[in-house]
Amino acid sequence: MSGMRYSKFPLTVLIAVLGIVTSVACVSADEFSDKSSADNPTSSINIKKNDTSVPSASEANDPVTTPAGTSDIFERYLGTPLESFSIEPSLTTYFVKGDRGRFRQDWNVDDRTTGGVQDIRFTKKQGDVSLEFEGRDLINYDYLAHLRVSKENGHYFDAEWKSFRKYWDGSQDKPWDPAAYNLPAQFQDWDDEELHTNRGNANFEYGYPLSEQAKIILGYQLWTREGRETLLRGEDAVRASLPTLRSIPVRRRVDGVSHTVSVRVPFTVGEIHNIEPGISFEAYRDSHFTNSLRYTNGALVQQRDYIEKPQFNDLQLQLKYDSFLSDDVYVHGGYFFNYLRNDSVQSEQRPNLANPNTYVNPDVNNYRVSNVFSIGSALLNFLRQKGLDARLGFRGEHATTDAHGTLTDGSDATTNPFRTSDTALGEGWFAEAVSLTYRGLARTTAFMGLDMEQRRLDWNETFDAKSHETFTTFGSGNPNMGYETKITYIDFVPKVKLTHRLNSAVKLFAGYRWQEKERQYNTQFDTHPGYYPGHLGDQERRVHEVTTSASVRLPAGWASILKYQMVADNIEFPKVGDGQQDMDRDRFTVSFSGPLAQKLFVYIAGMYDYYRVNTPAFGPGTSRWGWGEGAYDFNGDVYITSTNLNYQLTKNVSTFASYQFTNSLGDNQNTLNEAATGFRYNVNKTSSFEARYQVFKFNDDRGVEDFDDDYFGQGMSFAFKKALG
Amino acid sequence: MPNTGIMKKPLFVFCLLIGLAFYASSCREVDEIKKALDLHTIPGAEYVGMETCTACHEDVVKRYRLESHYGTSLEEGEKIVGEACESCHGPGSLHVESSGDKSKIVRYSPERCFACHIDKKAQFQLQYHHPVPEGQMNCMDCHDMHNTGPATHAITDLERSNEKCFKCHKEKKGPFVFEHDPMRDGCQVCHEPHGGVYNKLLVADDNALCLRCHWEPNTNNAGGNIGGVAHGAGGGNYFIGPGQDCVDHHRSPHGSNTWRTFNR
Repeated sequence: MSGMRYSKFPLTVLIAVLGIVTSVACVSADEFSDKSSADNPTSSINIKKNDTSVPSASEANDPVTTPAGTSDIFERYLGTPLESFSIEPSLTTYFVKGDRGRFRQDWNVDDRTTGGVQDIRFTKKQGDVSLEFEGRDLINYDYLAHLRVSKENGHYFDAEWKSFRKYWDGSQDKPWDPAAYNLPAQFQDWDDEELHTNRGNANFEYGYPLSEQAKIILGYQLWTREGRETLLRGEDAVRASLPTLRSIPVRRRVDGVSHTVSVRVPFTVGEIHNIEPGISFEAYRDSHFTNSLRYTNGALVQQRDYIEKPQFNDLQLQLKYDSFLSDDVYVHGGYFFNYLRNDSVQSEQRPNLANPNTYVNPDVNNYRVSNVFSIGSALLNFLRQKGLDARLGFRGEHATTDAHGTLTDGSDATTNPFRTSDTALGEGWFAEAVSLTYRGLARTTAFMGLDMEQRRLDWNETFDAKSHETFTTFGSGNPNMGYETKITYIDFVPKVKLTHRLNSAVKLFAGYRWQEKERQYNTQFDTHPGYYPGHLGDQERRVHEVTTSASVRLPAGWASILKYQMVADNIEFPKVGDGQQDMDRDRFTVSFSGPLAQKLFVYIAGMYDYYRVNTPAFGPGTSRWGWGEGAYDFNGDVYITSTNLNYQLTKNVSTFASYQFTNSLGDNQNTLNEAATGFRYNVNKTSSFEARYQVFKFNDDRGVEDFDDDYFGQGMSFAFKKALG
Repeated sequence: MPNTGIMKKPLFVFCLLIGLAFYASSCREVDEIKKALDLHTIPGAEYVGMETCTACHEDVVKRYRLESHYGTSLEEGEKIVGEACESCHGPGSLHVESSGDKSKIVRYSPERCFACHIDKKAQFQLQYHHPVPEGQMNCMDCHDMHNTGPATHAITDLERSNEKCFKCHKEKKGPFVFEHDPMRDGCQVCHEPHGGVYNKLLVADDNALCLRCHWEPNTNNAGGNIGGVAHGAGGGNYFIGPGQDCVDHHRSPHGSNTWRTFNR
């Protein structure tokens, strides 16, 4: 099913709506001159967000400069004057040299001239009917249209559509020299000019009052994703006498759509009991084509095509209840039923090579039925202590999963009949939350809470190991494997927080959270105990988190926020040895803002993140080429500094300059320098113009000179903002 | 890649501009500049207090009392202003005077959240992040500030926590014939949703990430066994190290309908 056609229709609608809306902008400023302006006419350009300009209905009307005759259009479409209106046409261009795909991926923007309407919004009120609109129309590729019409204490209609693009780097961030592996240069950034996916969402909601105490809410949601993306996994490039690289990223073409319809009927009984029954149904259909190529000495040695049709139907029934039984007693609860059925189909083909097998997974029939119940309360001014709030909550879930998959080996249907896999999971989840919050002390909030969770997962799976492409029986010769275990989960998460404002200048925060999570395996049956997950077994995870922050108002108009977070996350496997696995994070964040001089305002921010993952494994060889330290550890240290300066040159003209430096110190080894400057000119009370110039340079320091992800370039952005009302 | 002259001239202009800015700073407009730069200010508006908000937004205010953000306050001088609602929405007097004109109250923007959550802002400035700064997503896609959410329900919410992620990442939802059990603990076991330095927002590179759990004492032996299978040097197709990462073979880490070991 194609998601593309769903994306194109709203685009047409958006352009039409923008045509109407920008016509409204032609109403002269004089018409609104007696209204006070709440919008700051100064505009903020995000240079990353702007796209190409193409002729549109809105531009044809030239909204800002040609007001003649537009009042008629305004009245024709909208009747009465708007409460507020603003529009911000913009134009942005980038000149990038080097790895343009990496630039697009990191900056979420195309590296060409883009533009359109960065922001348009208006509000209008006629009688008891309110209308709100906001939109964005940046060609290639960022669109938004959100319209809400509501009648006071009556029905409302809310429609939102947005579509944007996610870009992918063709090299998947891996530097290598294809020529050394006897492959063409384009393998370095393999065909990434059109490597992106278009994401789309459309949400429609209509609410209609059935009575003073009840209404019905109808909803429809559309989700689409279409395009090509790069996966995390890679394929081999092999050349005799050189290290084997996994430098050929695997690509996937995706084309998916999901439709969700829902009905909710919230109503109130006895003025305080809010009850909301609801039902929703989602149908998700997707199509994935994944292409995987492996080369040796420049020759294709293996090709695999994965053809998948992920899909599910999801039925949800909910009944929610909440009520303030009194000013100080709040109770809530609910019941949730979920039937989730997955009928995905998957096949793998190896065309035109020595082993032209076709594996087909024609019959997947998985379903999960969940029943959830929750209840809780918040007792405000608990025990008649003013400012003391107590909360209690409980959640229980029972879920049954029954999954069945059949696979055939297309190469030899006679001797390899259907191979089946079956899993049955029975889950019981219980969760409890209890907390106390005390605000009775002056300028102080103290919080103490405990989350607990107990789960039981009965896991039973059987499968024909000959369905596996690479099959081993581990000496038993029995291809029919079975595994049954009962896993018990016990989570214990206490946490405390304290916020105190010392005085009008200093506010302090401190928090601590301890996570104690245990997993206990009680294996009932295992055909091959040495096989996964045999040795994994019981697990204990302990996480200590400390967070402190200070918000300080300094003399002479300066302010600062300082924050420190420490996370120590350890996983232990008592079955095979303790204390060899940990993750440590220390993150310092700080910001300063204030007047550096009488007309010069500065905002400085920075973050330093010390981040290490220590695994107990050591590399099996000495020639490991890729990321990570020799012992399969991970170093994710990074720091960012940014400085923004704003200078008021004259009453109507201000200039600004900014600089940001990002340094990935660890295994990623890269730096990004960005500097920007520009000015803002307030033409009058309702109009402003902003221009911005930007330079940037990304250095990938992982070696392989000339084949890494370096890029540098310049960007320019221009925006005009008109605000009325 | 060599650093060419293209960098030198803009850098000179940039430095010159900063120098000029410092040189020209002689007027007394500091407060005005600061206000102009504060995108969350409504010029001319004053704080009115939460009780005033209650007049029209009774239900929202009443439930907000249950939220963790409740009690957030701003102070100007010795006076506490902007308690609760106005600490995020700015001073509300003009909004009140105009009978609720929504253009006269500060509404959601990521910068409004980042004003306090500066560490999250820094994370969103890293190379891998959800497109919140670009305006294509917003904080409220995952967090609900008004309704009785985290402070009251938390782990006792009706829906599992992963459902927020599955709203967009649908193919990960399952159920699968072979499930990856950590999915039940939440996507954040492996992913950092706000932003990070590694691809796919993983909390570590894909070998170190997998090896956090999937290791055995004999990993360092010649065979480098993991899960009963030799993954070390000489381990044939199963070895990790030169030319292979875990995910290259275990291609469906979220769950598989075909292979118990998520190979596809």
